[in-house]
Amino acid sequence: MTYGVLTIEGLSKEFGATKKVPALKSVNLEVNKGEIVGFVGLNGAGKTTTIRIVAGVIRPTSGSVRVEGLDAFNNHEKAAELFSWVPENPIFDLGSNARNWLLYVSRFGSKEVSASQVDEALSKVGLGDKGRVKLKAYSLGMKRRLALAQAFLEEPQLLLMDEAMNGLDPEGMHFFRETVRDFRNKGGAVLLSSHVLTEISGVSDRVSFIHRGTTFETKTLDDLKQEFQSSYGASVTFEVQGLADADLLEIGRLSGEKVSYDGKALELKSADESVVSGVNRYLVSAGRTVTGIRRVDFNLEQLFLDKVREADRRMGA
Amino acid sequence: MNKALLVFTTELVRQLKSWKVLVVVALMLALLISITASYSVSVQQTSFNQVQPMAVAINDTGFLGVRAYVVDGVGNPVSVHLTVEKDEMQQTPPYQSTPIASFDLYTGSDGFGYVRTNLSYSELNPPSNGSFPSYEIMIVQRSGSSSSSSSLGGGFHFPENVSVETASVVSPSNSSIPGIVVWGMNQDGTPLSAQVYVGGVYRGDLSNGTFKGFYDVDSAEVEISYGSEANVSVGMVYRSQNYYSLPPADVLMMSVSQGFLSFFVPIAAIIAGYDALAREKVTGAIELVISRPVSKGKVYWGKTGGALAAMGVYFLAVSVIFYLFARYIGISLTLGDLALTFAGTLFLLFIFIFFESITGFFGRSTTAPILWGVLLWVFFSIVFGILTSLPLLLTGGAVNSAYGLAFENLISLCNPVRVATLIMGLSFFNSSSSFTSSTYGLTPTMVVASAVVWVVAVTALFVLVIKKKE
Repeated sequence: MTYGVLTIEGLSKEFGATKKVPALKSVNLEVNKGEIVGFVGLNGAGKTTTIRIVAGVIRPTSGSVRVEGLDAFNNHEKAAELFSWVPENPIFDLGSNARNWLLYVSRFGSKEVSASQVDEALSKVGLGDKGRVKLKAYSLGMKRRLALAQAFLEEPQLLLMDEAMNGLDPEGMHFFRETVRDFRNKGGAVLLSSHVLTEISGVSDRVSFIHRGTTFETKTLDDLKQEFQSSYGASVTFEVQGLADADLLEIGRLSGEKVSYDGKALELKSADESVVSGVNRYLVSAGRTVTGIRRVDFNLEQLFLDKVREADRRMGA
Repeated sequence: MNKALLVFTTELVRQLKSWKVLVVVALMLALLISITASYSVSVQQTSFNQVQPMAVAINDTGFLGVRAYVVDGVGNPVSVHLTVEKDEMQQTPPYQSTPIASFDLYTGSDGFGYVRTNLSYSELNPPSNGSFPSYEIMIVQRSGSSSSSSSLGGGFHFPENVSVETASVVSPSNSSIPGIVVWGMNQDGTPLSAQVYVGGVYRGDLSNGTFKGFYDVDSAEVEISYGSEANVSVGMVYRSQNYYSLPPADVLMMSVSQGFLSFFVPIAAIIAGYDALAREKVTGAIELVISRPVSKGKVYWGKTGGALAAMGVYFLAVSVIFYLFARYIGISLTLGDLALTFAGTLFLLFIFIFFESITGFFGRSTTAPILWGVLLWVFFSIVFGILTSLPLLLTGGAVNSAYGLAFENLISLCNPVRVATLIMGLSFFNSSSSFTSSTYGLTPTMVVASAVVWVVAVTALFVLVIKKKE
């Protein structure tokens, strides 16, 4: 049997000694080389629990996790040489500084890491001048960058990123996105959990959906876009202000649909070029100022929410 | 390198570099040395003021002899020549004294010398040149209730010995009775086995035919219980009225270090255990370590073991410095004393570091493990002793009985702090220097066995918690 870089099969987890609370029921997932898999679910769906199990922090109730074919529970020491984990809320020894912390943690890795390599890793994540600052003085964004530096210290094959981009500023988001893409392009595998779906759709090759502890669908981004197109089609949004009811009636007549308008944006479900240019000509002739026209081919959030509703129906909620 | 060893050495180095632990240990060492030094100096000063002849009046005709015990300022036996003089109970000056006997004390004889005299009054004149600071004079006195001279026979150092059941000794008007010495042997010459009561309170058994104890009482009735006829001598230790009760120097030094270490070592252990595992466990920082290529078990064991080893290194240094300091001020502690002190300290470190690590699995806030550790420390250092002595105190005489003492001492084996103290004092166990009521009913084997049980129990608890909580 061949395995991906990460293969999760039938994973379940119950918490509690006497009163069992199921956190995971059935998680099945595969992440291959040179691939970013977005792991999407509502809060409490089981994303973090799944990733913590893979990282070896908690043990599952049943199921299997393999990293490059190695049993991640019974052969954690070998399997963990192949992955790095960027947790949702990275917690370090706050009494330490970044440099000492990385040197300390790297001692438990598979490769010898020198002080200069640590300095280099810190520089790569933009913390080159903060290496000797106490970690208790670090902001969330700096902690996430430090966690990323730790993750890349030993050139892993698999990167487990749990809501790693939450709370980052735009520059930080951009940095993380580019770092992850670069890692993927060099052959690395990434499991990227997030509920910021624009981020997922921006970088993922495939997306796996999890709801109430069960992964119910995994598709490539292309397949999801196709599904979106066939279900919803593309839409177009005009950024325009001050439309009167008469305008909306005329636009409805031109497009042949009931349009929606919130005072700032006018949305057309149809993205047909003749309809879009007709509506644009009307708005200009009516003296309205159009500040922008956006074409929306894919909305993962909309698709995800519909899938969750469908999953709820199937699960009898 | 083996991963467990890697975690172990990493934690060892980390803890050795920890300024917090270093400061705590350095403070302890400074306190230990300064307390010992100041106590020693204070004893020395007090003792030098006492270099004066001491007269002891014995009104009972059963007065049999004199033994003298001379020590220097910190309790070491000294070599000195003493003279015992006869005084004719003169009522008016000029008083005349006639030397009747003299003897040499020398270090090799443990500071004891003896002389026989049948006089009813004696004065012992140590040289008043300040060459030795303190002394004890032991008057061996026959029991008042067994005054028949026909019962006198051979005995310890004295031709006359008394077969007694009760030996009553009363303090002369110008002295107190800080202590008694009892020697006993059976008719066949073998050491007597008997229990000794002073003032109705059980004080211990004859060990190898000898018992020695110091009690700050004005009078004492020494009752010797034994099964068959035997020869028994009862000696009283007289001291001048302002005499400081001073055990031998090595006992003094060890008791100071035992008390100090058993009380304060748990604090250092709690800090080290908290730093090693508990804090990272409670905060969650341990998870980033666990996600590395090393198993959880190796992380838990390695970090806890590393902390123990680091503290072991620190306290070995403390023990060695303390040992060298003792030698510097003239107290000859042995390497055995050093080894036992370190063994007791290591035991205490083990118990408290592992317990502190265990609390990390239950704590919900960063302060919880510290509080648990401090609670345990207070319980075993203070509360346990009060609780276990309560039943004995409430039952009155039981505490004075052999049974009561044995019970109290045996139950103290349930207290790791007490076990650590007993380990540190194993070399004095049931020796003539030991005040045996504190160890009655205990044997070195029992102490070692209880330490082993403690180590096994805490280890098992640690394993159980790891399995259950993970």
